[in-house]
Amino acid sequence: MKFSRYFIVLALLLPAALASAQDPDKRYMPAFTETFDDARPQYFSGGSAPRIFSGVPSLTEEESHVMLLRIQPADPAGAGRGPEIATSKTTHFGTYSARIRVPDVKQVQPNVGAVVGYFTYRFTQGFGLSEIDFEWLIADPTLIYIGTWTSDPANVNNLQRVGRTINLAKGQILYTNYRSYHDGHRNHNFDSADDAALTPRSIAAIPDYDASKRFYVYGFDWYPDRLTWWIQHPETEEKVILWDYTGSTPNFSGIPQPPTTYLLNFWHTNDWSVDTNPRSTEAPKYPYILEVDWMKYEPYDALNIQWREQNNY
Amino acid sequence: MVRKIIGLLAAALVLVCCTQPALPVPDEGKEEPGPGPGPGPEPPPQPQEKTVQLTTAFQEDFSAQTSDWLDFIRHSGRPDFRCFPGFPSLSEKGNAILLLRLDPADPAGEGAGVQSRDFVHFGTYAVRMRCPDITAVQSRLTAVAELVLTDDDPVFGLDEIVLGVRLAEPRKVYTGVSRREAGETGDPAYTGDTAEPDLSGFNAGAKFYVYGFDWSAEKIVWWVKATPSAARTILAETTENVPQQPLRMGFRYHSTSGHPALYPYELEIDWMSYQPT
Repeated sequence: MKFSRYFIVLALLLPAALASAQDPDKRYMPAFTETFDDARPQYFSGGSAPRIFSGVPSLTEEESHVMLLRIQPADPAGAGRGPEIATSKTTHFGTYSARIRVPDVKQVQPNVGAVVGYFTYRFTQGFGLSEIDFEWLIADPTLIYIGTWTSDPANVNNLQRVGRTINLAKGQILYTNYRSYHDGHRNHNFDSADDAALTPRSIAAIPDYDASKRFYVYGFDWYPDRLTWWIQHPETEEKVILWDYTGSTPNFSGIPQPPTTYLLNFWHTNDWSVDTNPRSTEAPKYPYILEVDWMKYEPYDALNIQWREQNNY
Repeated sequence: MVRKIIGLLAAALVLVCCTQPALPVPDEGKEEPGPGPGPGPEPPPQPQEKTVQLTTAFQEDFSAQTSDWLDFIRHSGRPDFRCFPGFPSLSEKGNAILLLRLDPADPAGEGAGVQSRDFVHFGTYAVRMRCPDITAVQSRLTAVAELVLTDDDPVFGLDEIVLGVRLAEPRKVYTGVSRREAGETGDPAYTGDTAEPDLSGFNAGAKFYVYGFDWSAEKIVWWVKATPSAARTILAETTENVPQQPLRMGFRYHSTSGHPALYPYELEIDWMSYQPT
């Protein structure tokens, strides 16, 4: 009886304690909202004209000042080889969100192979890879790719992907799967009974969803044992959960553990076509423009301090 | 900034009107003295020159959101994302420009642009601009970027002097004059030419160039320069159909009938200038 009372009190106090703890470690980004109102971003760096422009009027929305990322036709293929911005310090467990509009190229170059990545990424020696992704292949901006890349704790150079692909305009989950180094990175669907890996099992369509037609707010909540990707409904402003992942694979969980870095980029892929168009691997033929209105980070300081203590980080 | 202040002061001081007054307006409601029998009254004399306000010399560098000499063409009825003065150059670091964008939803002939608030007359006109390089992505695009002097006057008719680039032909520049008599309808009569500038490696979509022309009572000479301080490369010259009346200076950027823009290609204007003679 006494135990359960203490447990209840603890349960009530814990969230407040987590919220109030301030992370004093200067290696980490504090909570911030980058509004890109100035020519030099406050919290991000990485590149300049002709690829990156901050503090400029939105080209598609009145009264907004944004950052533009311009992919260049001469950019070589490969992740991170186009315009990219990143925080100078690391980030960790927390809520990440951003308001983004990808370029509309469906008419002008339907077979373009170009990726917009809103993500975290850091490979730490001894701890491995910590990557959480929102991605759009702009050849079909009704699809959203979400997932993670993590390392095998036994050998951090061995990687695993867990991912989900959604057609949000149709409310259709194309697949939820994983692949790892164990068997040559072959795709495997999660077991159909695995609720932890497959929640939610259905997603209501956002009618006319098209990441290139307007700005949308995207985000994810990253805990040590749970990762939830979401989008803010453009009309109701409610969170629409895209994937609430608490699962594991036969190999390892798929939820990143070590600290990371917060990024946004735009790059050419010549070997990853969008699911709805296998020909979409062309190099961009024009410097298409991606717009980002703001990017936000709300760290879970207590969890982050706790993780570092437990992992001697 | 200093350039703009001087220009503003000059504009305030020199509001020049041409020599002939406006047409006399009959005094409505008052009966004209009856001429009696015989032929009717002589028609009023036609004016020889437009009665307009002329602007002074200027160079608009588009470093601010507004201009002392030029109006940005806005289209009512829907949000306008065609015209962005004071925008950082997409290709020249640290330079503020006028960014113009095509709107794929625009019908042919409707697009982005600027027009002088007041009239201009004989003088030298120039624009430093960089066209978008669209040849790889939409090689059949029918869109133009034009430095233009124009006015459609009910008495004097329509006159136009143009220097332009078709985005699909960035190694060429076209030049011409148009004329339509007052009261006539339909397309104006156009005489012009297209030239490949004798300028090494000329490509309007690859870098900024200075484009311009000299307009006098006797002739028009069109030219292009690789840089503001470079020598002129003459594109064309004409002594026929040279407009004589004041016109308005403008810049037009729009699709034409055929293959309209499929993407809002960005055009950069560093500055526009007018030096009267």
